[in-house]
Amino acid sequence: MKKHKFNFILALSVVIVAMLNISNSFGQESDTIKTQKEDEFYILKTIPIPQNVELEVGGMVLLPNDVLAVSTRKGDVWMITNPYMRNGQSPLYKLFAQGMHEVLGINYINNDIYVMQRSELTRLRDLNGDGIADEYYTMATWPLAGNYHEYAYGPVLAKDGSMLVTLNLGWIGYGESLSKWDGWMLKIWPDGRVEPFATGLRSPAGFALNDEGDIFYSENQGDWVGSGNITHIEKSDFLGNPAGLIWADQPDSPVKLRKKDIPDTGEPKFEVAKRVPGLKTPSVWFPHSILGVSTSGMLNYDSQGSMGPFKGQLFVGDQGQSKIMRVNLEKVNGVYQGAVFPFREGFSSGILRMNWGSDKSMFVGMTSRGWGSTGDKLFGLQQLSWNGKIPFEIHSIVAQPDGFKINFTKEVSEAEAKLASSYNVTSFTYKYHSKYGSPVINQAKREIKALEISEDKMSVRIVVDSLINGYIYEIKAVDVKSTDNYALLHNFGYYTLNSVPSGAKLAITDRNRVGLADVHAHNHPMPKVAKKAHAIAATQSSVSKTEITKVTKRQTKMPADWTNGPDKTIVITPKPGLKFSIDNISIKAGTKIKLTFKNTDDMLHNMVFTNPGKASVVGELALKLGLNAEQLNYVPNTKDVIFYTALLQPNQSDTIYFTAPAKAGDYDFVCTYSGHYLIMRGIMKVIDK
Amino acid sequence: MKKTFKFLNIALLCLILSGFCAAQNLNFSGQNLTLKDFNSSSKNVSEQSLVSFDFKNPKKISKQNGSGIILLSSTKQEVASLQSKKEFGDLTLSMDFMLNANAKFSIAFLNQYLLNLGDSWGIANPTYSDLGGIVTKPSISNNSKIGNAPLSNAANAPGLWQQLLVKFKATEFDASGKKTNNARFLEVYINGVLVQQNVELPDETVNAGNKSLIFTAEGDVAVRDIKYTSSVPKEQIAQLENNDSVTNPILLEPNQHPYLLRSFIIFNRKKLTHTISVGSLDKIHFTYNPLQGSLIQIWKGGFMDVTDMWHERGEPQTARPLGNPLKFLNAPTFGVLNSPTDPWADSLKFDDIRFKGYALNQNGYPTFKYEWQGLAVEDEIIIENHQVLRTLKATGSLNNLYARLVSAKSITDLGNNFFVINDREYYIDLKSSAKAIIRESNGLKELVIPYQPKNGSIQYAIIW
Repeated sequence: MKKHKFNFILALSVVIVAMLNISNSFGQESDTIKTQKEDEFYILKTIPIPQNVELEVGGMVLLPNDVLAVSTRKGDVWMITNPYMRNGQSPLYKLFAQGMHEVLGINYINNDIYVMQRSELTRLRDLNGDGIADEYYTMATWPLAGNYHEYAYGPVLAKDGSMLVTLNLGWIGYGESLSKWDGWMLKIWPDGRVEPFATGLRSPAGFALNDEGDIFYSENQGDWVGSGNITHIEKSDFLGNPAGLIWADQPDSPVKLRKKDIPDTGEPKFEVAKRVPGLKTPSVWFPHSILGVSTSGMLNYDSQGSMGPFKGQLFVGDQGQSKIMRVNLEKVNGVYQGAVFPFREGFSSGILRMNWGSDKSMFVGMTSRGWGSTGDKLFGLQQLSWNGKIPFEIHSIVAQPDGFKINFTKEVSEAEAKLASSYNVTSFTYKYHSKYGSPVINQAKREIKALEISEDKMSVRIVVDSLINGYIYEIKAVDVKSTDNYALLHNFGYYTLNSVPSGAKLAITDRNRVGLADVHAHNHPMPKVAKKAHAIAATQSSVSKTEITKVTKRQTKMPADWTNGPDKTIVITPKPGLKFSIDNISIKAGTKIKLTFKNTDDMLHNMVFTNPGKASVVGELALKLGLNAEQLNYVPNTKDVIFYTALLQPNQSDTIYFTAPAKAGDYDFVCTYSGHYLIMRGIMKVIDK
Repeated sequence: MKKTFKFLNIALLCLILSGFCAAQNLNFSGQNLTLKDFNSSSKNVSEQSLVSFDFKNPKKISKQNGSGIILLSSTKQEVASLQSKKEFGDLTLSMDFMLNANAKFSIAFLNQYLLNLGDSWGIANPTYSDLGGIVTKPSISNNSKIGNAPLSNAANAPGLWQQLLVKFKATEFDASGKKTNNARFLEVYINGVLVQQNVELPDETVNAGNKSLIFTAEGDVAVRDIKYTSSVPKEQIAQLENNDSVTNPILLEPNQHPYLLRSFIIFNRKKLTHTISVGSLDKIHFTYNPLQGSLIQIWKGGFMDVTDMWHERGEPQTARPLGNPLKFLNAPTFGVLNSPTDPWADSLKFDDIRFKGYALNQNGYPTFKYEWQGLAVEDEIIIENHQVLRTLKATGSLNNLYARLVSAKSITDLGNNFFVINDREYYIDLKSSAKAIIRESNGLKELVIPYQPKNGSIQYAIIW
């Protein structure tokens, strides 16, 4: 497993390097471009955990005495003294509370410790001063149906003094509000009163306030959620999953919408929102599998932290991909929107929580039991520190009336930054429907019409051919480098354009008009553009070619010459924790196989057979499919894929027919959906006839 | 535990997975054995239609001449014993037995392999000489190990009926009389709790002699409903499918102080979602339902199997008692009876009760708190002297307020606020001077107490 993780990171670095190399072949100073790595700026330290402590982090909070309080999925609260390992000493762990039901949140509010159990918000007090809680006071409780997916998160102190909590939908093959307030954000007042606040939530594992005190929550891809996102929540909002609306008619509900008001048409969410007032669209979409697969904790970068030049932005964790993303938000015409970027990956387990330490570092608490994560540990606690060096990064992207302004953390080198070909802008969106997730739809490359570097060389304004409200803009600054010749640490971001700002458009002049400027700067812009265009065309045609060739790799009808039917029928399902129900198939070469893959899990899966030892290679290639991945069933076009099933929604199944390879060997089968390949795999042992 | 086994033999699964999770009811049909099927030490063996031993005073024995119950009462000079006229080989045996305080009792299988059944109530760490213990007598003479302690102490209190179920495999010999297989206790259940499994009896003496069953008592022992079949279930070997591995169980026991576990549980086939189970170091545990303000079950032995909560996602999210719980009603403890014949409320709705959590005392035992009908209720439940001791206190005022301590098929007043419930299944020891009323409602007996908060608390112990 360790090896897989290593390969995964290595592979990503290879992609970045490869991208650079391609661009260098066109640039002038190809031999001098320097690359950066995340760990040259952000240092990751693992905090030791006693071997008899299962620190499956559900919540974390730093107490005023600098003790880190951690709540766990197995119901404990641990007090960790000296998590900084000052003076070279190990942290000390003391059990403060025990036996609560999957505690996915802890906070310190008005001099008290509050924890969130499945069934209640609990205040913990140590009345006799022995360092162990002896009062478990129930602030508020709510009904439960007894479904494991009825998770509860929080509390977060709102501006008005109430405590915000969220309740997950249950899972019964789809998300359902099985008991009152499943799928809602609630306010719990100090007297225990429960005020329903907003609904439409699906799996709201993380929420936080920004500097203005506005509430944002992170949502996971799933039914009615095309991709992960963060959304600004206000009272009476409906966030998208209609299940919670069954309680909207309760007397204390502020939500006006009803289930019947929500169409299941697969139109983009912002289109539906135009005619369904009260339906809130995400502030920032996180493209699935590119920037996470399961958004979790959220941390506002305020004065308590020190993570480089990004103050005022939000950090969002991801459980499945063991990484942290960074979001810059802006409010345009009263609506929040902004861009999401990669920030730091390579954490040891599935990230659920992030908190600032008193030394302004970030504590990262993790668990992956039952879900699987890129970091292969079952749980963990790590500390991320910034070493004071400024990485060359896209600092932020802000919307302009005619395009975007890309702010950088360092001065950009004018030679590349002023070339339109150094950038790549693609717009797209997702379907809003009851199905699980969504393919990328309405994808279109946007031409850059004009481009202007700011006087201080810290930002670049790009004018694109047209701006469409509601779309996500993939903005890549692949070839931009700093004046000291560094390539960007991460060269892309995704901006969700909810509202186009008014204001002055950039006056397009000969100086900033794309094409001419390039011609003036270099003598070979046209061939370059042409080349790129050609490359894109080539890719597209290869995609369609792939579609054709792949048909034989996914044969969904029994071949006519199988007159006696298949020799062997195999039915496989996923198992929780990213496993196949069968991880070892042994067959003779040339066996005619009918294979049914039934997706009984609550996330998407496929099943891809590869040449022996190629599961990781294929999995990595699938990750690189980017926005096209879902359309391609997450199956890359490579000879190492020998057979595959479609990418399956929960409760879907796919039956394929294939003849076992003639050559004996241990062929892999693997789910290539967004990083599952690290864990979810098996062996088809083909033996000689 | 899902779909893993081809043979879905629950008991066997439990054997493999945890060794002591199995609880089994004695719905067993076999042939009866009565006093006439035994040779007895006639002086101190008699047949009665009714026997009771007094929990508080062992010298007080009530009996009624008749049939159905065999009473063994040893004298100072002589133990009381029964020897079966019939001889047995493989044997599945069940019976009820009742012990007077400190009584010793054992059954010898094949005239030699001893299963101890003496009074062991309240012993936290039983040995092979306690109830459910087996004397293995290994031939390799090593006095340090001559028996097998029960997996847990499942003993009931003196004067209560207890249940025994034994599956015994006899020694096997080949045609030439050479031993081919040792005798084994395949399973022994005491009060529905598996206390022994697959205990080999490596006695090398080839003893094809007398194969009677011998009951031996010192003190007073009553026995009834002896049933047997001369066979044991055929051994099944669990088979794994597709290289699938068995899930390693996650078993939870309290350590240093009581463990309060919030979980879902299955109770009478229904999933309860807000329960708090309390595991004690005294190995007496209970579950409280805060949505009813009710103590719903108590049990002895191991605390909880939490595999279904903590393995992978833990989809059922249920914890399962590692014992055979004595179950009560999942219904409110307090009620308003405007007339003495009013039925008790079946259950409270979610919003009828407002649970306020719990505080732990110095020993880590909880006082549960809730509000109901304007009353603030404190419900302390602790384990003390092997008893479940519950103290109910309310503040506020409410007319015609009652507490219901028991709803059962029968309640017998033994005097001095001491009651025995059902067919000597458990005792209720009402500590407060409150006047208890036994009333009939819906075909069941109820022990209710009129309660005024100003009069203090109601305290009672459950003893079993």
